[in-house]
Amino acid sequence: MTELQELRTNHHYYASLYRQHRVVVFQHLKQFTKDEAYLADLYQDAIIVLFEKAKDPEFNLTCSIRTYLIAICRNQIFKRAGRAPEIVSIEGERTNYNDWLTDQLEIERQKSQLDKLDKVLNHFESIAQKCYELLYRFFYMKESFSLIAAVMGYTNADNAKNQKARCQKKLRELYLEEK
Amino acid sequence: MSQELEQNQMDQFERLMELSFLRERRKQMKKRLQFEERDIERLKLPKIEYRKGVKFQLDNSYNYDRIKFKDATQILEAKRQAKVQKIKNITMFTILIIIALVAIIYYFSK
Repeated sequence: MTELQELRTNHHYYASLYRQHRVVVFQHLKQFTKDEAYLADLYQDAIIVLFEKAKDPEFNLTCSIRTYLIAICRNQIFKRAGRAPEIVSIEGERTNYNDWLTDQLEIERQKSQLDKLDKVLNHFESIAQKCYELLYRFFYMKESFSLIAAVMGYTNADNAKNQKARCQKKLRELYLEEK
Repeated sequence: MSQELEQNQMDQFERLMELSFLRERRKQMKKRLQFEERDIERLKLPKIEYRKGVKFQLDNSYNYDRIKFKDATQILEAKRQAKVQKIKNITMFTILIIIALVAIIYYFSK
């Protein structure tokens, strides 16, 4: 099994990946800065970017994971330094770090609404466990409707999809009621 | 028009949910990776001297980024294994009964 496949199937594999490539990635990045705490922060974000990309079934790597991680870190260095080339391309591999950053900026912009939704979700977890599990599997664990249907006892993927829509509607009502 | 507006609001809410879970996921992963980093740094230290009589609660990486539900593929694999095992058991049981019956028939035929 390749590292990418392992990352797709094992939810905690990213932590092993972190240890595995840390030394080489740090060595490579030390040409930009010697600050290890800063490098660690960059490298952690790069691992998260890779993890999220790996969840996309169409995502494929033509270079090694290590090269990809270094490319993401380099993109971040340029971006944080404010002299961002849009994407640093290594061996023709585009890192799509910008997608990650766009989501991150949106998260910061919508902080108050997200805090409110978190509060509602906590309550929702205690009153509608099955609905919460469905939403958690879909949004957090990124499982497909067919998998969700098989594991949660729905007859088929469409049924699970309909159930998700119903749960989401119920949650939205609670969200709108919350002050 | 109002239907379109409602659909638009539903889409916005869906995006908000997506962001909510994404934020939680990133937060959990970051915590776990920070722990890994601290652990690596700790291992690089020459020697940690523990004071006598003081018990240290060692942190474990499993304390971080806990997934609330078991992975669907794992559950399905476990179910499949259980099914295979059940079929094996039934087959073995049937074979044993057939052997016993054959032995009995053979015994009485003599």
